[in-house]
Amino acid sequence: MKKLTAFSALSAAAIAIPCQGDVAPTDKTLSYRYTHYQEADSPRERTFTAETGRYQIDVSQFGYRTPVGDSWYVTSELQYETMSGASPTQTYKNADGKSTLVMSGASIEENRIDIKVAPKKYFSEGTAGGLLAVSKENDYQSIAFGLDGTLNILDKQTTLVGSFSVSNDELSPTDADLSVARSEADGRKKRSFSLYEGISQVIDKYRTLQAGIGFTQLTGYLSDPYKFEDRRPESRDQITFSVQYKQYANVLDGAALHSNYRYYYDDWGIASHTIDLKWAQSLNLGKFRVIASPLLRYYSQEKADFYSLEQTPVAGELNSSDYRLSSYGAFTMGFTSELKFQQWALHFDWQQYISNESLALFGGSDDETPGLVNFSTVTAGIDYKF
Amino acid sequence: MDFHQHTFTAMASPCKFLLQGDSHHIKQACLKAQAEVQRIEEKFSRYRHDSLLQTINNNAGIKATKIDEETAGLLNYAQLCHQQSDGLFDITSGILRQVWDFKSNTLPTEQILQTLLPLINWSSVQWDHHSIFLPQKKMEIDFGGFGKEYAADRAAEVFQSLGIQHGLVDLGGDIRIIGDKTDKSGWDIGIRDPQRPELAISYVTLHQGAMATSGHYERFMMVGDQRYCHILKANTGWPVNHWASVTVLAPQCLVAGSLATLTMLAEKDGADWLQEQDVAFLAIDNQGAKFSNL
Repeated sequence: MKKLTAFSALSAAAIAIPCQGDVAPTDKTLSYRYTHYQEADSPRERTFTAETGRYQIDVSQFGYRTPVGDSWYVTSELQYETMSGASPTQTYKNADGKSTLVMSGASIEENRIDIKVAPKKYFSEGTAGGLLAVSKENDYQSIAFGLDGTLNILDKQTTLVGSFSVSNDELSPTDADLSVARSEADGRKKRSFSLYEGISQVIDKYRTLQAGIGFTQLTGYLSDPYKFEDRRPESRDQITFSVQYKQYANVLDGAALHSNYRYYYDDWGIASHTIDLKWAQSLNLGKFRVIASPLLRYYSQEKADFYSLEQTPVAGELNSSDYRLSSYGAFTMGFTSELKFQQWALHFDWQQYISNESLALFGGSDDETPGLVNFSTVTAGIDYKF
Repeated sequence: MDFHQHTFTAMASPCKFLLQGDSHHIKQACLKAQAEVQRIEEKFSRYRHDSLLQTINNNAGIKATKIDEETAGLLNYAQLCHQQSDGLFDITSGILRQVWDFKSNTLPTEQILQTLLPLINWSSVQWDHHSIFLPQKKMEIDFGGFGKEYAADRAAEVFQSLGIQHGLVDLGGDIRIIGDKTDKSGWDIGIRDPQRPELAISYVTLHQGAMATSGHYERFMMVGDQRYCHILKANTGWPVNHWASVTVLAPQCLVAGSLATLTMLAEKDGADWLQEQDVAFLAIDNQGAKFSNL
């Protein structure tokens, strides 16, 4: 047998040197995003009163991301929202068997402010991060804390991903003396506890696969004090299974297909399927670089056990006519786009969401759910890196 | 397609990235690759008191220092170079710099060299994949023998990971190709003439892989008419004195550089040794005779 040369021995040893691993970003970035969220009006033939206008939300988001020291990177965000409009307080089946929507009167404008800080430490085998978020609006406040981490193993071809978070929210409904539900909810808490474990695998240069399982437990006051006859359990256990597949493609100046599937179920009887497809396309146009990503999502849900359209359900029993707990299906279509030039990046995103009981894949019923809403979001933004 | 050049200074050498492609994307990639070179420089610097390397050296004779996987990988590599060179290459030999001052034009005395030689002993270093302990006070290690070549490989990998396909990394003459030119014509790289280092003695066209040169012209002093260069033998503490320069082509710059240095250290035995390696090379001896398979 031929003697192992120094060349081959050194080459083998050189290849075996693990690289640094996750490298902390070195850029500071300032960003601004403006988003307008607009719900379509309710169908007048299904509303009890002439009030058909629904929510619209304007969101301004300021972001600042910066490295700290050699291996830390801190992301911070301040978000300010203005909400106005009305929402359904109840849906019931009338004597003719038609679903009728009771809308809240035109509500006053409400504001919400969110602050989020997330430091992340990069080290040779992965990352470790934290999250602190507080949110405040006049009838609700929330504080959340989280930890997350990634660990690269098996020559960095495999990454273990894990996260944990808790939140503590407090309700203080406006005009609490207006209804029993509101006064009962006043000062009540809602807590959440979430865990996610996942594994991400590089298959080859062009393909990666990630699979994960998540568990969330909500406890406390989980009903909606602004709705009529809304009595939900005081705890909710949610489980998700998800798979993500990324396929890179040499199309034009580079592209990637992101596909996701998620299965969800909870102990309220809700089960859902989500499928996402996104094509991210890069294009170099002279000094500009464009990344345009059309996306499509389908969502199908089976209703909660206590969802009902009874106008006067049995007192004291669990009940809700919230359209979000009904059986329905939804499509989202849209795109995100980014135009990069030197240190600047411009963003423009658009999404249209349509939902309907007839789009449900499983568990559909003949009952109409006029509360189901269609909405669109438009986002414009700018980033500056320095 | 246009060429984009990015220059900076690191590891006491002029550094250059030469690339083809979309200029904005390249600019961002250059900053990331430069950051990677600087990361390696800082982590393994002899001059920064807070570098990992300094911590290891400051703990000599006192306690073990925890190391990460990258450092362990480099130590393993250094160990192999030590074995392959029969101990002539030794990362504990950097201490000789204290007495070899190439600006002074004065030789160290044999007596003072003898006091340092006991501190040069890689075999006595206790290390594994998690920690290293230098058993005697004043002992030190450094990665000067291959740090620049290693950084060239890593910088090229940063470019590759960011989708840059055409370009090269040049860290003070240590070259690593990121990918061939867009027209696949290859990159023409000059090899310095050791007698007149500002001129090229030969050119090679590289489509991939790496090229590194070890030369007596890089740092040296003349005492009388004798040249004393910076490549020092770990067993005697004296400079090598056979080759003027050795250039090696290999897939990785780290390996090309080590083969060149080990050939310099092996002096006249280096000729046969290098030929056994099945790599392309150009070696020029002190008399100017070329020995090559290019």
